[in-house]
Amino acid sequence: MHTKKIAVIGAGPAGLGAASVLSRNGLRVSVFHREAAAGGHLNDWAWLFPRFVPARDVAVSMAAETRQVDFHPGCHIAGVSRHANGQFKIVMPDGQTEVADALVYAGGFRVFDASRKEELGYGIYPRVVTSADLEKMLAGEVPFPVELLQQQALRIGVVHCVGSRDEKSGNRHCSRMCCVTGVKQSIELRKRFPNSRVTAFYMDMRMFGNGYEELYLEAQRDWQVLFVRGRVSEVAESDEGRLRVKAEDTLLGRPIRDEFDLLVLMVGMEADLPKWLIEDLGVKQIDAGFARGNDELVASNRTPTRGLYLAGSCKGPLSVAEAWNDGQAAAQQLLLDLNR
Amino acid sequence: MQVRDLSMAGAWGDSVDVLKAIEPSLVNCITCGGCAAACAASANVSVAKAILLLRRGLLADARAALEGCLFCGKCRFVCPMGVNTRGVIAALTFSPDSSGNILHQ
Repeated sequence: MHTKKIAVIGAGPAGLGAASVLSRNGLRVSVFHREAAAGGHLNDWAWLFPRFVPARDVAVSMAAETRQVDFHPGCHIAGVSRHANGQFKIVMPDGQTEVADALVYAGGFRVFDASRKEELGYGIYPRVVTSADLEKMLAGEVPFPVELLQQQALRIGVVHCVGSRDEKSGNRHCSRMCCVTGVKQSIELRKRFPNSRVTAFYMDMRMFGNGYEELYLEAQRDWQVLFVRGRVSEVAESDEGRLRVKAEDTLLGRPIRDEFDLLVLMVGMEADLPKWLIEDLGVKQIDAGFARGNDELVASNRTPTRGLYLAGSCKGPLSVAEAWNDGQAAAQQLLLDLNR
Repeated sequence: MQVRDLSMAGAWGDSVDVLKAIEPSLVNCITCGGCAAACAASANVSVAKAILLLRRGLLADARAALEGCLFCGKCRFVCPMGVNTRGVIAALTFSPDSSGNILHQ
């Protein structure tokens, strides 16, 4: 039975979590990953909430948990079909195929494209950046706008819920991670620019994880981050090149107008499922477009298609730790079914 | 309604820094409003609102939100964050601002 071959699609936290459990249980595991390096979105992030751990270290330690696997980097799967005998045929971009007895789909999510919210000026004003852009700046991979470094009293605005809880951009769902990301990045900006003042515009602050609420209070108490409840309605550029922001202070019931040198948009997480997963393998979707397991409570990794399992943020926004655990859970589910 | 420019020079600035030094627990307020709900003096007195206004740099408005306070301390009893509300009220009402002026006239 342990000569069975399992395919894992995606090598982010969930895919690596699944591959680690499967490979340590003596199964033959092939991992297909569209990027060159394993780690997924961890490779785009500098530090992780709530304790500012370097994201790349986490990616490395997750990858180190796997045993012998057949890793296919830079392999964006063209299609997968299921034979009558229950096996999966995986078509690689070069047309070559591989056959597996079971499949774990861990293809992850897509970061919201902030230029779709035209009123926020992303892609129009260079000083409007996204949380993903800011991570690259904090990591030193991309320079901060030069003028910022010379500025004495820097004003930085943080805009929450960009592309989340937003019917107009087709995303009714809450992306969950951006609240605490905004808190984390506000603290990092205050450390990086001690003369700065950070104002964060939010709808609700959802601090669901261990240490998140503490971080939210720390941002206010120790780093003087000002949280204003209200959605930014409009961003324009002043003659001096500063960003003019209009919002409603909903706790005071007053409209406000403010100017910033840098505006950071907390972009949400969107579904990013391949066509073949839905059309050829019969995976159902929730309203937000993410993949739906058999149920949300006890069988979220299972699908109606025998041998096909879902892992990680293809099912909805998850944190790094949640995605890793979900990948391991999907693999355990698969092992239970194999041994049945 | 008048559109107000939110100036960070005042918000979390001078007045908060001065008051924070007198009553450090002020920074723990999460503006839940429990203090206002418990207030025995008037429906218009709210420590939460005063702190909120203070954070926006609106010192006069913050003081106005405490007018009528009886210093009974019920608000301190209900505060989930352990804010010494009476200390905040005293600090806001009687403390000198950064330029040495007495805030309360």
